[in-house]
Amino acid sequence: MLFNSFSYLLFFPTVVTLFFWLPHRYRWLLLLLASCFFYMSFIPAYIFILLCLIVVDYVLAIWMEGLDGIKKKQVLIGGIVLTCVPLFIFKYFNFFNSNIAGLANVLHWNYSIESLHWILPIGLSFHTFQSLSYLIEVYWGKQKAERHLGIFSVYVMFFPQLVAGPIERPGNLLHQFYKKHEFVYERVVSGLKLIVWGLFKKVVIANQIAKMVDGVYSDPHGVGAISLVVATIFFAFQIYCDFSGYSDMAIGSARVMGFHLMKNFDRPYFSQSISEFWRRWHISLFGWFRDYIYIPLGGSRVSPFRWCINILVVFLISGLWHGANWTFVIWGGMQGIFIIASRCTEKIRNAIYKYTRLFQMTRTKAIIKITFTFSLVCFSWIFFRANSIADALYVVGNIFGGFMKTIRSFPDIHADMFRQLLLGRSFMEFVVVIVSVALMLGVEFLERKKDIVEELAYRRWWVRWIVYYGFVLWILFFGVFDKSPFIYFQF
Amino acid sequence: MKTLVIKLFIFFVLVYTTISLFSLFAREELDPDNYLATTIDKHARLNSMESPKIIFVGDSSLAFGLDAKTIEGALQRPTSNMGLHAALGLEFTFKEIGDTINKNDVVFLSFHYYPNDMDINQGVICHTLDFYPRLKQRIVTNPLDGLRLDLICKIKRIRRYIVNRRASLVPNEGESLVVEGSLEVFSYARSSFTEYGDVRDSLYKTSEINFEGASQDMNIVSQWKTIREIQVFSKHVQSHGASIYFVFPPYPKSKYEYNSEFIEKFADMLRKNTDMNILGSPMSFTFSDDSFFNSDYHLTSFGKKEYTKRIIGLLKSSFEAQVR
Repeated sequence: MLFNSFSYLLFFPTVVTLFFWLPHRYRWLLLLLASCFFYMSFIPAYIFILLCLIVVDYVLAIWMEGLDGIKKKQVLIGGIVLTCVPLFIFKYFNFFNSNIAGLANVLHWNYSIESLHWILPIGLSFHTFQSLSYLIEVYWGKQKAERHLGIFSVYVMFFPQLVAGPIERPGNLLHQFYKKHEFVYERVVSGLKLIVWGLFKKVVIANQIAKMVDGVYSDPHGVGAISLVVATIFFAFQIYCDFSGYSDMAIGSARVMGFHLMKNFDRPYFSQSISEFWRRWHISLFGWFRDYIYIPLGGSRVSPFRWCINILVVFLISGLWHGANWTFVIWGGMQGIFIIASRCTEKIRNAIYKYTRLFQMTRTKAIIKITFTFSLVCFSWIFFRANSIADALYVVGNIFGGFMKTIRSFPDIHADMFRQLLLGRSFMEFVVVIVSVALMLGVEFLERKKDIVEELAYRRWWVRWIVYYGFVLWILFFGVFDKSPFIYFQF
Repeated sequence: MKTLVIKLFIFFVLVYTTISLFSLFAREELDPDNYLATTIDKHARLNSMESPKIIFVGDSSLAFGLDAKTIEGALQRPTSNMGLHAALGLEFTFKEIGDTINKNDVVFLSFHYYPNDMDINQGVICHTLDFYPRLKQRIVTNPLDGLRLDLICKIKRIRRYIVNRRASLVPNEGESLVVEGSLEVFSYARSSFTEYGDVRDSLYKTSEINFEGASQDMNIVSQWKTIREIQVFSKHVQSHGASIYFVFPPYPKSKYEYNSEFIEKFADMLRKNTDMNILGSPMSFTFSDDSFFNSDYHLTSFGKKEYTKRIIGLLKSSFEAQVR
């Protein structure tokens, strides 16, 4: 069941109505049943994998809590391994198997393990990481092992964040299931507004752009350099609006029922450096990597060489988390290299700022930095989006080679340039995308100082209604309500 | 909560009224020769046929690839080719013929590889319903569904009016394809169909089609849903005392080699999870690249003869005994 589907439009109000109607002591049960129903709308049988994971982690956490020293560590390691088994089998087995088979072929070994033709359970990486988070926190003693199996199940399965996060920590979410949430009009409306904002990002921007980008990236050899550049920039907005739109709808849905989920995106395309970008993009995942991998490895309190290794390890794992394909590993590696390069060139860049007096021109400096960071991010998205490394290299080569060629022959081909720019869509569709992206960026720009939605709540009722009315009509008229799944569901 | 519900209701009524008014303004004149208007003729034939009959259900790969007349002659049963457009989606395609199936009828399913919800274009569905509104009774199963479809079609009409008025809902519409032995040009139109529901003969390859490119990966989650949908339809057909067969679509050899892993995976899912009789294998319905004229599922006249021949050949062994 997708958040932007008609089924969710029926499911969510039903759950919310029942939630506030039921006495507090039965609400966890409602949320559990609703979450099971939500998950089973994808592939029903896979609920058993999830339930097994829940039982294993529930038992191990309680067991671990009563232990000390090496035994406790052994249980933790056992728990991590057991929790990761489904993820490895479903997501990574074929990747490693095909790579070993490739290597065996080169070395003339006899290797004949068949690939698995199994369907990847939806959102497996997300709830695996959420379960791991719980086990590690219990091991560290920061979280008490949950005794109520039902509440623990809801923590792992809470439907708003079940299939694509935010990956919540037990310290933030678990206790909220014990708290009684009243119907507070302002909070419910604020949650609904966030859902509508997420819907706008998903159906008007991401789905619209998807139609343009998919055409280019499914066969990059058949298009010109301008189309490749535009499709790559558009993909940056597609993936952002797709994922942050989902997160907004998840956070909004939880907020309606009184639950607070962590912020997952914080205007990432306004970042002035790659490291800042990663503090603002998929915050819950990169917070996870920071707390459970980067800091235990020593974080930044190690030698510069070791720090570089730590950064690379974190981002390579992050790449692999996104998908079992070398394109994702390369994408992750690129992020690590960008951050290392950024640290290495810090002194040189500061010297340039000083020499060019950019230090005094704060706004100009910020614009240059934002543009440069965005360009690097877009460059790395090529590897994320391309179907293969060969395709990605072709796109990179043609963007640089073909773009210069196009500029040189500008007077002859300006009509073709315009056609390439539209990526096969009509002019009006292109305009709708541009206006919608501009609207989203405009709102995000203004939000660095104040919350626009909250600000709107203080306006006269007719002003608010005109804004809501116009915005909803914009979504309905220009949204693409096909059944495009959210990109991050596959992770 | 009451205040919120009232406000949301007023808001919904306001938005719905606006959409209804706009959609009246955005109404466009229907072209009686439109490709989608063919649905009128296909249903007229289907409704007039006596049982036991043969119905081919699917997308444009059937419209362009099948010679229903030859099949009717070979199997001695009235035959109708209902294949029209992949963008109608499986749900629509199944529902539109749902209640015309009778005892001893034979239904053949065939559609492009890995059909899924992403294929569906609600605009195409709405436009088809504009031509043949009676279909709504078969498509809509409850009032809520009716309201949803009505809203979607109104929105689609407005959206089309604003952003894409001149674009065709049928891919390749207006493309010129030379018809054998004359200077006539084939067009995607109702008049290009025979009474059996096939695109008329004499289509020849007119341009080079590049069948290479990125591997067409299938979204396995959506395929699971597809398989379930097919199985529900199969049960529905069988509950009417009719039998159901699956025929793989025509596919270019070079493209099959490129995508064989996914195609075989899809075929395997079909075999394991449905109880239909499956005719042949994906490999047995591959054709040389020259047999396709403008896309990887649209056969030339030569390809169409070959595809029909292969289907009849396979039927001889598994179906003929039942027919006689």
